[in-house]
Amino acid sequence: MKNLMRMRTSLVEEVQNILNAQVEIEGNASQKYLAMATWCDRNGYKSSAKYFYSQSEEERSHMMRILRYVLDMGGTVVTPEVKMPKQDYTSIRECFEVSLESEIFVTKNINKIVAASREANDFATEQLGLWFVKEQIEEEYIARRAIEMIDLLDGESMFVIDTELGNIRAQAPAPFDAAEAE
Amino acid sequence: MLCNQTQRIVNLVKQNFGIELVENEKGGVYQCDKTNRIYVCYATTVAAFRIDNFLNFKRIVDGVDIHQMIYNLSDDCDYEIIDLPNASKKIKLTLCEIIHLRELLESAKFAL
Ligand SMILES: [Fe+2]
Ligand SMILES: [Fe+2]
Repeated sequence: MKNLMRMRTSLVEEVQNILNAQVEIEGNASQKYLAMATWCDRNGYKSSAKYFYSQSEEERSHMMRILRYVLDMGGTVVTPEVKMPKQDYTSIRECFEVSLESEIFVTKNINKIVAASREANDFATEQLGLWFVKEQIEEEYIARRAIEMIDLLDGESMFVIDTELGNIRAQAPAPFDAAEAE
Repeated sequence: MLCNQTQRIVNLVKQNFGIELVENEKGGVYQCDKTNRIYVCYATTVAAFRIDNFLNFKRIVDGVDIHQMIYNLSDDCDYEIIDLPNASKKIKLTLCEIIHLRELLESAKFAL
């Protein structure tokens, strides 16, 4: 009897389920950043809004990266439900705190992908997971640094704080494996 | 019991490289290594699925809200319309039929 399942896909069920869960998590992350962006936008924090809009798109691209991978490997993806994220924040600091919490949650789940793929000797999925491990270093760093900057800029006008936060991406560290590139 | 036409197709599938995954008085599921298809024969329906669509079909059947069917008294809750993935067909199943079909698909998946 042919192994039709293996002929169709190299993904085992557990790995496919975890990847589908991650598709949903990245989709939700995109929605969360979108809500933060609109909150910042309507409260006059235009620079932060710009950052969160772009972050929202980046999360969607993460979702698509996993979705396309599962399909390329012959698996089945579930397009996730759109959930309404938290709409109101007490301050711009709270936005970045929620975003840090959210990134920590994402990191934990990315680690599950790597762990499950190692368990299943699925080194293709491990590679995908490792790309995200590196991405999460940057994401957590930025969120943490933003909160730190808000604290350091204590006493400055909200306009200055917002402008500084708008350039937060420039604060990201160079990828650790690019240190010896030059 | 399978209807005559279904029984005929089941026999045909079995004769032509059909490998029995499960068979009971309600129906049967067979793997055909010639076409790489899973044949689900149940009640008056025969459907040939690619393996991933077979599993998606199982997911759909498993996902039917049985409690809603039991407790909702309106007429359209007496049965559920189920999509057969990429088989250009929908089937109408009663509560009992869904439970029997679940059993059949579960055993078939186990035998894969
Ligand atoms: Fe992400
Ligand atoms: Fe990023």
